[in-house]
Amino acid sequence: MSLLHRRQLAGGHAIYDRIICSFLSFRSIITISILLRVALILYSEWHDARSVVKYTDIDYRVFSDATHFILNPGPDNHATGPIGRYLRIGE
Amino acid sequence: MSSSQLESPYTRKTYRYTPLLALLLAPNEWLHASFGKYLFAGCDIIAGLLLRNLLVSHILARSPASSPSSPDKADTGIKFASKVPMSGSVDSAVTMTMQSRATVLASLHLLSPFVFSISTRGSSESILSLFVLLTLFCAISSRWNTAAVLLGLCTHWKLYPVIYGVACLGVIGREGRPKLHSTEKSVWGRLKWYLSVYINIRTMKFLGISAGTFFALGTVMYAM
Repeated sequence: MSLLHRRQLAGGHAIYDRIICSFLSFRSIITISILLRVALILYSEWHDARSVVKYTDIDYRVFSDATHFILNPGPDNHATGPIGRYLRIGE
Repeated sequence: MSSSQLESPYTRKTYRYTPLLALLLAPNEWLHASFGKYLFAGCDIIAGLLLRNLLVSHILARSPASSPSSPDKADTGIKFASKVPMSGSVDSAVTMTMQSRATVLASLHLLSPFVFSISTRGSSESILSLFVLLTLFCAISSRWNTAAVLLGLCTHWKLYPVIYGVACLGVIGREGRPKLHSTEKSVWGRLKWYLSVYINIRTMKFLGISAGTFFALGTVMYAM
C-alpha cells in the first residue's frame, strides 16, 4: 500500500466512512438485508398467486419438481443408476 | 401434482443442475414450497458475512500498518511509510476506517438489487457464489486441501469456477519459491521458471484432490 493510500485511509475519506458507519453499522445492514429478503419472498408468493407473469424463476420450478420426483418414487418413476436403485429414490 | 402426470425433469432439456441441488431442496416437499428461496437468501447473507470477514482479516489488512517489518514487501511505498511516525491514534483510525470500508464493500453485495432479486426469485446461483467464496477463504488462509475439495465441489455444481484453479495453482507454486529474476532474459530460462511454478509436488497434490473430488461427485451422481 502506498503512502498516499495510507493517508487516505487515515484521513481523507475516513470522515465519510465514519459518517456512513455511524448510522449504518454492519449489524443493521445484515438486519436490513434479511428483512428485505424475507419481504421479497413473501411478496413473491403473493405475486405468483395473482399474476400470470411470475416473479419466481422458472428454474425454481425445475428443481422443485426434481425434488418432488426424487422423493416420490413410483412404478414409472424410479432411479435407474445402481446407487439410485439401492436408495430407492425416484428420478 | 402426481409424479406420473409430469414428464421427468431429467428428460426435459432444462434440468442442467446437479442432483445434489434437488436433494438439498428436500424441505421444499416437507416444510414449505418456498424453503429453497429462504435457503438461497440465507446463502447470500452468509456470503456477505464471509466477505466482510475476508476484507477485515486479510484483504484490507495487508497494509504496512499491520505488517511494518515484513521483509518480502520491499516496495517503495513501504519505505516511505516507514519514515512516517506511527502514533496509536493513526493506527486505530486506520483500523476503524478499514472496518467501515469493509462494511461498505460488503453492503455492495448484501444490498445489491441483482443479488437479492436473483436469490429471492429462486435461482440457485447464491449457493455457488458461497462455495466459491469459501474456496477463496480457504485459499487465502492457506488451507489448500480444503480449498481443493471445495473447488472440486464448485466445479461439480457448475463448470466455470474451474478457471479459479489456475490462479490457485499459480499461488501454491509460487509460495516459498525464488522470484523470477528480472535479469533472466532467455526464453528457456523463463519457461523453466514458469514450469517449475506450475508443475511441482504441491500443485500436483492440489490438482489431484480437486480433480478427484470433481470426478468422484460426477461418478456418484451419474450412478444415481
